[in-house]
Amino acid sequence: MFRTVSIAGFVALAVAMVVHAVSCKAAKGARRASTCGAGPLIAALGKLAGFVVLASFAVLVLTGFWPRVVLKEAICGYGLMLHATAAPVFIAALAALAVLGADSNRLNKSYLPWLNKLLGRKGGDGEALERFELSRKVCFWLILMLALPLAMSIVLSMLPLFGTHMQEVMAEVHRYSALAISLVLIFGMYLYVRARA
Amino acid sequence: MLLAFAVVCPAAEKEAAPAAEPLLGDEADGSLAQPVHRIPLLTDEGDAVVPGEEPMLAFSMKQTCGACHTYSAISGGWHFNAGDPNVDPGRPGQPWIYVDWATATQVPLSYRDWPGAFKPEQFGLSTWAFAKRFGLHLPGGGVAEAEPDDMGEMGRQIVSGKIEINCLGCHHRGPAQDQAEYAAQILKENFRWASAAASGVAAVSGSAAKMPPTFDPLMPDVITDPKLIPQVPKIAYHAGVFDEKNQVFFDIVRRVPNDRCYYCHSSINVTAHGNEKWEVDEDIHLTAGMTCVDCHRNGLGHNIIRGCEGEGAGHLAAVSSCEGCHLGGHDGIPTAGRLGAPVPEHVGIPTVHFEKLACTACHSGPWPGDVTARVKNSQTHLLGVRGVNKAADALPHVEHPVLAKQADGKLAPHKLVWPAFWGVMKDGDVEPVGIEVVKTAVGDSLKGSAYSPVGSWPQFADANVIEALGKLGEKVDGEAVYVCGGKVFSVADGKLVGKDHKAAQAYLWPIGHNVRPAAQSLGIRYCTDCHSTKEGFFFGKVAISGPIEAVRGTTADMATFAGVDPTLTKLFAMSFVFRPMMKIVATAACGVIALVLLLFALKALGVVVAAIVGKD
Repeated sequence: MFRTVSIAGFVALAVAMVVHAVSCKAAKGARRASTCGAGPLIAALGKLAGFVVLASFAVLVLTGFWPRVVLKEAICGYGLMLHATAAPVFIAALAALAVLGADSNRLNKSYLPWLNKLLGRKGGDGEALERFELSRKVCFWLILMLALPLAMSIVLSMLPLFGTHMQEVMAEVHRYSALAISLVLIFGMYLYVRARA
Repeated sequence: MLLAFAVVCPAAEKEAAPAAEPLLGDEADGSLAQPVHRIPLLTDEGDAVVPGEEPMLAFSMKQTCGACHTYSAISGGWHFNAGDPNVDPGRPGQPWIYVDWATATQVPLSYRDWPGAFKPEQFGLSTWAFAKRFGLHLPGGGVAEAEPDDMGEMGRQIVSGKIEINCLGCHHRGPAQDQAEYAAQILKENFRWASAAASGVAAVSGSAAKMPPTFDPLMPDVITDPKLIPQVPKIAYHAGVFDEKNQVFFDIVRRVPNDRCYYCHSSINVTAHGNEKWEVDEDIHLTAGMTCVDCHRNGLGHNIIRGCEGEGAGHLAAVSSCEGCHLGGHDGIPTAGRLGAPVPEHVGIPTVHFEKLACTACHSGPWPGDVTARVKNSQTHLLGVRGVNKAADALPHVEHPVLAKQADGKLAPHKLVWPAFWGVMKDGDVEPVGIEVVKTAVGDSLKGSAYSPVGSWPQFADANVIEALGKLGEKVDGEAVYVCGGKVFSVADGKLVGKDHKAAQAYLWPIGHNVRPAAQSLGIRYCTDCHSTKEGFFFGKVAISGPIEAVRGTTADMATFAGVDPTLTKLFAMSFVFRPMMKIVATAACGVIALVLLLFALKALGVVVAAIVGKD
């Protein structure tokens, strides 16, 4: 089941990205401003954290999905050890990224005029939106939200708290949250690259 | 003529009632009460045993029990059908181990096609010779009743009788049932008398082994040699055994008491406990009040449930395995918790363990140590037999626990024996040479070797073995070799050289018992009960022993038998040092992320609330 859902998810993502790329060719947005008012050190740390997140994510996706989806077997052996080594690196870097990037990913602009109307809010200062800004920010927050069940499902299963049934449930939670976070992160990266282009 | 008669009519004596219709005891009526067995005794000719008759004859289990229970139906059961090539051999089990100290032979034998076990005939053992050798712990029937092909052996069988199924050996609860006496009678070749002697209702004297081939138990008085007269097999029933109807009471039970099973199925870790039973805890199931037959059940066919996973013997077998009782079957109606079995939670154990490990890996046998421990078993070491060699180092040397893959691919603890025998290498295969052929060929070559006073391995000097191989090579067609300690030894350039070969591979059989309590299961403390380079589960050593200096005191890596990558296993075990740190880092990181999410969610909530109340 998970294998089927994974394949369907990645295929759907690929199709969505192609469709998005074709349909959003002409759209342009403002150039990306500085991420925040913090100094260059923080910015550099943020970039470093982002890089580490992406690198460890690549290892996790490869070691996690390849055995399950391609080889149809459980993750084991050296792959499991790589996966378990990259996992704490990923979550720690993601935590750093969360702290460093949360403010710059606030949904503090007039993204959806109809929502402003609904809430009876005045619009923002009319600050120009960057390309795919809302989507990128939504991806950021989704990644953070999905990281919690992703990591805690495995950490809790390592503790002598839960029996076999809950171990299976938590393994499923881990798998599906890994799939979701992978799809969101890949799409987020796609949007980031397109925004930069 | 006699041979033709025996081939055409293998059962020359009067048969029990034909199986066309069920006999009185073949079908139950549903009552859970135990029927009382006050029954006439019948000889192997089918005649009633009457006190005072001369000569008094031993009663036959086949005729006596067979009057009410169809013997042919019973004799197809698992305890008796080893010699039937049409029976599925099933999971490899404990073999008979043929030991000959003079030639340093130690080989696992079985009539079943278990990989790694040899057939008795490969070592020159006929069914008659097999019955004589191993009958002490044979339940009778099967090969023990088989007609020999050799005329001489056929004559001996006429004198001694056949080893019929010893029903009383299992089903007689009476305290006087003495299986050690059974073994003593088998040693004297008193096969016809053994069951009666063990039953506690009679005493048997004499020895059929000493009788001439012409001896007839119906006419014992033909023996006139004064030296042989005291040796004539005789039976005397105890006073008061027969009632006024010439019937005898046997305390027969369907549910076999544990002690009856223990005679053939005891084992003791002699490395840890010597032979001291009082130091050993029983299997936790027995301590909890269960009996062997609560799990190992059978019907009239005596196809006893072995209790291993995947045993294809019907629904009851499926729910009588570890998983079947404790976790239930998977066909709808809940069956977990049978016989009061606790349903395990296995808290903290990742589910991958249940795919890769059998239940016994964590729960059965001794706690894995740095080196395997020596174990003695009833059938392999004649436990329970009077005058048995009690030395811990007595051959055969059986090691345990050895972690290895079962046929289903799951890791489980096993017992192990390293085969040792003389053979001939032909076309890359090693064929055993019969013991008697070896003794004749080798002659005095091995004399002068240091033989163990406790019955352990003799210590062969290389020169002796080289000489022996040379002499054996003159008698066989091919290169003479000696197998021991996992290697095949041959002579090359005047030296004794050992090489790996599949014929020298150890024979392993899975351990089911003793099951330890849950609080003593592997993993109860932490993952490092197994995943640690200091623990014996993956990183222990398997002891090797043999008479040749090159193998004495050596060991093999447990990882070899478990089929795991030793480097990966070591790296994985070492990574557990960082596991607590990983949990802390991951938890802390999730805490930070959660706080960030909470903070900004509260900010967003503030914006929404402000918008609602009109303060933008």
